[in-house]
Amino acid sequence: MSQINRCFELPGATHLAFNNGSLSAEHQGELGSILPEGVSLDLDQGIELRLGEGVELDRPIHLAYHNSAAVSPGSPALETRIIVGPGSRGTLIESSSGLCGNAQGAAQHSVLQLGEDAALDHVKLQREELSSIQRASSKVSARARSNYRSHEINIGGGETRRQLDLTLCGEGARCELAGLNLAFGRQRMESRVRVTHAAAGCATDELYKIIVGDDARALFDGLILVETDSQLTRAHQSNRNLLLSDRARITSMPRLEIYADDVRCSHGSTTGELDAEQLFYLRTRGFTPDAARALLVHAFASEILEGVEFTPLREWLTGEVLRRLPGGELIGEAA
Amino acid sequence: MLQIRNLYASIDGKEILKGINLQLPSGEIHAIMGPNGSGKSTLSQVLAGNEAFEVTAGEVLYQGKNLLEMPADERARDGVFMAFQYPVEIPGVSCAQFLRSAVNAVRKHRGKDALDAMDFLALTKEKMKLFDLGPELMRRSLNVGFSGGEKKRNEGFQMAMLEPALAILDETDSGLDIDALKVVAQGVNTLRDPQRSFLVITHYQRLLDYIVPDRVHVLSEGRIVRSGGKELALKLEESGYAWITDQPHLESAS
Ligand SMILES: Nc1ncnc2c1ncn2[C@@H]1O[C@H](COP(=O)(O)OP(=O)(O)OP(=O)(O)O)[C@@H](O)[C@H]1O
Ligand SMILES: [Mg+2]
Repeated sequence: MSQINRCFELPGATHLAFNNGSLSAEHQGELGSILPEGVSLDLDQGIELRLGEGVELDRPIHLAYHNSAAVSPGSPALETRIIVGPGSRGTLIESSSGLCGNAQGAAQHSVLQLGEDAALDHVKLQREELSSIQRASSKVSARARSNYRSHEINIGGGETRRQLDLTLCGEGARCELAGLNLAFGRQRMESRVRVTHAAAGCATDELYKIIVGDDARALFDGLILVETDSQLTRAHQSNRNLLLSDRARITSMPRLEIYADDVRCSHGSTTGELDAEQLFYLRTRGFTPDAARALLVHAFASEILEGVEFTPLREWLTGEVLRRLPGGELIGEAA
Repeated sequence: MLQIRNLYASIDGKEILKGINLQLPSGEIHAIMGPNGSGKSTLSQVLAGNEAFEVTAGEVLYQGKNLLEMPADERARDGVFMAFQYPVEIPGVSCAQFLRSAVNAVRKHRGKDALDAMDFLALTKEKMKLFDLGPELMRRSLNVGFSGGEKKRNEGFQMAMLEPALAILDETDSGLDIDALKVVAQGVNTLRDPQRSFLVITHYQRLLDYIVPDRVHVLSEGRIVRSGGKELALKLEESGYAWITDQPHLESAS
């Protein structure tokens, strides 16, 4: 994991690096020229990124958080506010690397506000060192007819606790929430996702996948709450998990709480192992046991990865997933 | 090519193969027929290396090597191919991704360079034609949503891509319409080679009109109860199996 490159620039994205919470010196004086039109960045209190009204980003904005040393105890959390003005649309990537946390569980919080008719594609990628212990949260509010797409991807960190708290607060708002946690060794990962349908005619599509191997542990706790007046809600929540070792553990707690009567909601959770027939089929075609497993694990993850629309990031993620799987190099080229 | 001697195999403690003897010389095609549940697929799976089945006695020599000691993937790289009676669906793995890895694993084992994307594409085009499959199939998840016939033709296509020395076709003709049957048979015939042998499992004499076998064996209750030339298949088509299975062991297996 130590070979995670510190410099994680995705070609084709507007790159904003933050080292130990401060804007990297490399950007000093050039912010005006790298920020797209209609986008402002305010660093007075934490990080505030604002898309005005009707702004269309033609390339993703990547906020790359990197800590080169463990955060000292008592340090304030890194706070990021993202405001997407009415009718604006774009892709935002937040990635964290290095040692973003310490034994006290230093934190990174993002607050996102989507105005009416706004559309945000949000990727939150945690690729920290194995010694990192961290907490991160996103608090999202989505107004009428806005569309929030989220991919929460955790592939690093020793102990990771993530919380996504989303309120669909305007009529006709929609969200698509995807998650992928990949944990090996002694990694611990927790994802808590809480979606509140506070307005009528909103839709949630949620799919979180967890893959655990070795002695890793992971937890999914998902709640969809439909409030009394949120009629015509459509909400689907699914948690699908893959156990690659009999020492690994997964806890899944999918929950629905519905107080409106005219709704279509479903939820489900499955945890399984790799399919023996599929493995045998692959082996009869010359795949070593490791390569066969890697191919199937990659296939399981790819349902989430394929939803990442920004190609350089999707390809990077695919490579990282394969790199963590024994035998991944054998199928990497063809994947 | 293949010598099976006194092979016994069981699953979950239930004995299914009860002393199979069979000799398949290089370049020959042997057909195996027999009633449902007689052990034909079990024999295929055991030859392909499915560890769910336990071999309790006997030996199998493949090109002089002890086949039963080789893991399934090693057998495949060494030229053993089995077309599944029920091909397995693998969502999320495209045919192209799967097959390119498979072909390159086999090529590496044979000391050949990996095919690059262009050469791979050219080879798939050529071999897909043999089995009348369209190129759009390569982008789809393996066997997912394929019709019964497409699955079977896809097995044939994989065989053509992997160029095995020993091909075991487990009811590759079942579920094919008459035209597809001819296509698959034609594909198999194209692959006939003095260095390649086939074990063709079928319920229908019809297939053997197109793929003419050197020998026909009848498997019943885990044993080969009769062997003969291709005319044996005709006789079975007319009279069914009762005349053999009611009085087994009339003729010893060749
Ligand atoms: N996984 C298994 N577990 C338990 N029994 C099995 C298993 N696989 C096969 N059998 C049993 O072994 C016997 C032989 O099955 P096999 O599939 O080899 O028959 P077959 O000759 O291929 O039949 P068919 O013509 O119907 O394809 C059957 O009684 C079957 O139920
Ligand atoms: Mg069968």
